[in-house]
Amino acid sequence: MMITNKKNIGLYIHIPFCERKCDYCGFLSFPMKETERSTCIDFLLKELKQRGNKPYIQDKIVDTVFIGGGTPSLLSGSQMDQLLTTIKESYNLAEDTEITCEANPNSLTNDKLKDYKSSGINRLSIGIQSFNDEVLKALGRLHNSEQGITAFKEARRAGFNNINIDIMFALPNQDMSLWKDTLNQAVSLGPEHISFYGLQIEENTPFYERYKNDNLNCVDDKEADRMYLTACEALKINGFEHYEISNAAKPGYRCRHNLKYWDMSYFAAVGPGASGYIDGFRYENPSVIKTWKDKIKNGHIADLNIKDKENIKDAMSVFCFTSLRTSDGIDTKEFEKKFGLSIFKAFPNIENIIYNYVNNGLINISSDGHITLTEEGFLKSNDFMCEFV
Amino acid sequence: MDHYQKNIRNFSIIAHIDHGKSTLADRILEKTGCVAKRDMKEQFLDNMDLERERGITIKLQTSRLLYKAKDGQEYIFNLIDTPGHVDFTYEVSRSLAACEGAVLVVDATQGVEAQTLANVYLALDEDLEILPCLNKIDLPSSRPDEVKQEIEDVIGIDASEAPLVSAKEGTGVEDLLEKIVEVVPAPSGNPEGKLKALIFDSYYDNYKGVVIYARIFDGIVKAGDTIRLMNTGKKYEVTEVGTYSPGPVPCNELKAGEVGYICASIKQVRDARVGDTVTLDNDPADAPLPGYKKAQSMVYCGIYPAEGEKYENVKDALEKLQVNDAAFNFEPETSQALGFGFRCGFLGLLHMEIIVERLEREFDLGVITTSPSVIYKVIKNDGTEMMVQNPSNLPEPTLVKQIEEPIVKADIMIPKEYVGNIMELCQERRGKMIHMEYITENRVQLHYEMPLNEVIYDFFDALKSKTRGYGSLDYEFIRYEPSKLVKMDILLNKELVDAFSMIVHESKAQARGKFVCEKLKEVIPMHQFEVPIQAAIGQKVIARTTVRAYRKDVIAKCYGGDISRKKKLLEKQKEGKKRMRQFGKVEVPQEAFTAVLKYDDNK
Repeated sequence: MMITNKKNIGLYIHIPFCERKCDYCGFLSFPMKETERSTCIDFLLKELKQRGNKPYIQDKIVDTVFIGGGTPSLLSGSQMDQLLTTIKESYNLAEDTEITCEANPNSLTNDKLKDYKSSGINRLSIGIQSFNDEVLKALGRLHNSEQGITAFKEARRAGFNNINIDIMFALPNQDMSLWKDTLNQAVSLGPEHISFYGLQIEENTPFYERYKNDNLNCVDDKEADRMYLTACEALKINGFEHYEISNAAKPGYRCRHNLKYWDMSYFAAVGPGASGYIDGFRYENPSVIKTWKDKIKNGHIADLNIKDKENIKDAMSVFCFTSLRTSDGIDTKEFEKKFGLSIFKAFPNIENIIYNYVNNGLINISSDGHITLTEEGFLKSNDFMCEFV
Repeated sequence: MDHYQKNIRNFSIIAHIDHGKSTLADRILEKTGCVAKRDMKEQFLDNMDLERERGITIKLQTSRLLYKAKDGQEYIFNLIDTPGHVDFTYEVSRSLAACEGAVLVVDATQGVEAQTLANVYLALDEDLEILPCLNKIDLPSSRPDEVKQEIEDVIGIDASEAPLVSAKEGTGVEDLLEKIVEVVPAPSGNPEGKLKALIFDSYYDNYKGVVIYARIFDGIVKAGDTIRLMNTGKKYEVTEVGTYSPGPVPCNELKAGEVGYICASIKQVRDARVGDTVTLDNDPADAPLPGYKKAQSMVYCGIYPAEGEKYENVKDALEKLQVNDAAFNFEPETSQALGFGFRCGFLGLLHMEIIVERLEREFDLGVITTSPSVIYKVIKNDGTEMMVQNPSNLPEPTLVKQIEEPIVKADIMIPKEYVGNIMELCQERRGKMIHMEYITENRVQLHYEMPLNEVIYDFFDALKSKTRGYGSLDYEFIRYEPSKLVKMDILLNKELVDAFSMIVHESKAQARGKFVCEKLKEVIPMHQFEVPIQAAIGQKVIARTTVRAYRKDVIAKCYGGDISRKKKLLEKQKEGKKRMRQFGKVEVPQEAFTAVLKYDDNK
């Protein structure tokens, strides 16, 4: 009954290490020594091979690869080459595969960039976060604004013609003028893609305690909203398409891998804590490094477990809330085609809620049946999305 | 005196915590060949792990030992161990009542402590022969001569011939055993008389039912007898009698002067209460032995199943514990915050801690305990009186004429350099000094009258912390006294959480309220909404703080891999919305309930 694009899938590889854990970071990543890192990579290669051998991968074509983390740019040129070679050997890669690698400015050298490029990386995502040194320091980042700029320029020089930069707002010690400054500098570097995120206070991070105890000098929620809207505006003026809640791209440069997440395409995932979605299964690798390694040693990492099979109810809610992250929104006709019932039947209360949001200018309903959040609506996205879970 | 009686010695060992009582008992068992050294677990008599960990004896164990003295005769030693904590004074007194003598163990490095004194007075009340002995003489810091002098000055007994012992190394133990033969009188009592046996302990055995430990004062008891417990009036048929050495050894009969166990298919320990007198149903004694007291709970708290724990499991466990602990009682109660649970009564704070720890360790249960409370006497305007042990049950202030609270006599012993600190502490806890005396040049005993509700929170922890562990405390209930008490409520997000309500003195309310609010702020996580935490008396807010809200709706980084996480986040947000709409309920982590009770040095 479910019709999904089964031919093309994405592949996510999680690099679980970094030089130093940033004070706000809630992602699965640990500072590791050189030898530990290289053991980790060995296991990643093994998992890549084990998964690649499975029929559920063999009958697919991988047309996007995303190497995220952690700090993937801690991989040496040859380690990156090994990784990509293994991917090419074990997976059916499409001709025009988008291969993204996340990078930190301080771990990018000229040589490394050239190596990455020749290994096959064709898209870089640089975690610049801010162009203000005070703000970067407060975040616990290891680079300064100058290194950010240099890294971008070096990447261009190495031949990367598809670069994203990550920037963040509502950071400690960052007011509107500093944010505008960061936006201007980001735009003036001329990247193809800009991701802009608000700082999220994650539990079990140093920032959590500090925030709770009023010991983190952040703007209030209203100002954070204004920062977001300012970014939307600035990016549009500069020729970017705001195609996803926190992503904007020059025409033709949307991140194809990222979009897979939001249109329920399948993607395989490799590495500790990584979660994939394949043939209707949502699996998650163990997030404890040792358990993850053991599962690879046992040869069971790539087994799909029946308990991970997504049920229709979950699929319907995921369909809705992920679609809402994009500028296309929920395609109600597609929903009905996919699940065999109308969205209003699936979520009986949603009709009234939608009208309420429409009246408040948070939602648009198009004549072809798309429900999309407006930019104001994106600010209330969780509030709306949670009506679908 | 019957000939078999003259070689019996019934005695206890009394000592302050950590003065080495259990180690000494172990050595005595070993020297009398009762337990081979290689079979011994450290401190044989303390048979509960928990007790061993804390180095205190709670549950009594009794042993019959054979000792061949230097005079060539064989003696029967009945060693009756006593619990070592302030909560169990009554049990100690009954154990002592079963003896003719007591070995007083004093740490030769530390000297006499408040609790040593308390127990000595108990022993003197029972007219026991007291045999002082100095322990830990192997330690370089021991000062036997000074401590002997201290014993003579403070207690007023001759300590010149006190054996010098190192229980750890086993030295001096034989001297002590000889002294016991010499000093402790043989029991008297008429085996032909009507049966009178004192219950000084009991425990529940899955096969035998309640096993009574008893000292026979007059008469004989044997299997097949129908016995009557004189204070409860209950009757049972004896199935077995015997002695412990230290495992149970059945015998034909127990006679006047002897110590042993009696089994009679008794189902609950509370039916064979310590202090009761066993007699024969068809030929009863005229009057029971003196000194019987009903178990009196002094401290109460709520015990609730933690999240994911079943009510029934907690109930089963409490029942099992009660079977073996006559001083512990419970009844069902409900709390709006915590659901279905139990109101439990304890002898004291330590007793409470032990029960809670046993629930967690032995039964593997997660429980939440609420603020401990004492029993208040409430006199209403209409003249009626009620006893309140759950703050939530306190009547409206307008209906109350007067509230009375229990006052205890607290004896505190400390090195003199801490006198200032501790007087300040006692004053802060509304203590009234009765007098102060120098026990020795360096040691001071402070006598206070203090409200029990000030003692139960964290007084003992504070005392220990402010005296680097050297302070000791002994307390006993003396009377009820009218007091300006108020019920302080805690409101989370404007809603009263009944489990946090407590009764405090008017003058302490604000400080206590501020402390609780701040503690709660530390442990309550951020929510989707701001959580005001308020302490209030009636409608009047006396302290407040706020847990700030999560940033409402963050445009956050979200990997595709995070879809399940994103979903969980949305579910949480939805739940939060629902709660905000319905009651604005706040998630309170379990640790919050204990965090507000802990002593905090920095407060």
